[in-house]
Amino acid sequence: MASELGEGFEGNVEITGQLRYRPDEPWPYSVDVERIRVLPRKSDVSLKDLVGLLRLPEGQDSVSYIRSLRDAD
Amino acid sequence: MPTKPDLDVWDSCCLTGILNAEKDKLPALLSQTRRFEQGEAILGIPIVTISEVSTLSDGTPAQPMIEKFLQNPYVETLLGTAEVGFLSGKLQHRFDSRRLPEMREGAIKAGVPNNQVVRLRRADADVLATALHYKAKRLTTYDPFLIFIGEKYITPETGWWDSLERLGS
Repeated sequence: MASELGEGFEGNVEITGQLRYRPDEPWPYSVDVERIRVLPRKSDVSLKDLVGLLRLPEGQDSVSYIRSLRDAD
Repeated sequence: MPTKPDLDVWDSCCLTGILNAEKDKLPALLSQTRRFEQGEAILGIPIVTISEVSTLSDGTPAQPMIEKFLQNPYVETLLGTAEVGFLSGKLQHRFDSRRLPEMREGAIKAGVPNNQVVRLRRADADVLATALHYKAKRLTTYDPFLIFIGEKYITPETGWWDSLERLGS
């Protein structure tokens, strides 16, 4: 299994298949694997890369912006 | 023996605060990066929050950048399952000042704006339900009403959650 995963070993993979859950547990405890896709170890975009990409209108911050969206629901 | 990392869930205002370069939030939020990169914690992003920012300041769509960020190995996109939906509905029913008038008084005293304390809105409840369902160690939010509800009601004593340490920033 480890050699099959190659670079994905101890990294992140996306697994497709039938998942089994125990009651009240959000994460599956077993899976019948149909396909494994190795995900990149590091994304091109970090949290720091996101800084400053948005400019909310004067007087509005993230809390009031999200509030305006949610209150409009 | 390896230990399971904590799950830290972020409300939308966290990522939006970073995108908007808000000085009161950046140091605390960016300082978490090291914990995530070292595998001490997983950053949980509720799926409901992903689309709350759609356009960047240069006019381009926000989603490609957000999608690339979500590919970081320390980020877990938390899906809205049926259980999350049921729990969200229960939270909305519970935290409604028509059924819980003392909540309104307490929230106003705690400084929550008047117009926000009527009830827990759907998206807020979805975020809270997601954190509860996935047994997050912490939900980080800057929203005053969610912080109030977390400190006042989402405690081991109220039975909503037995593993929550703290809701808020």
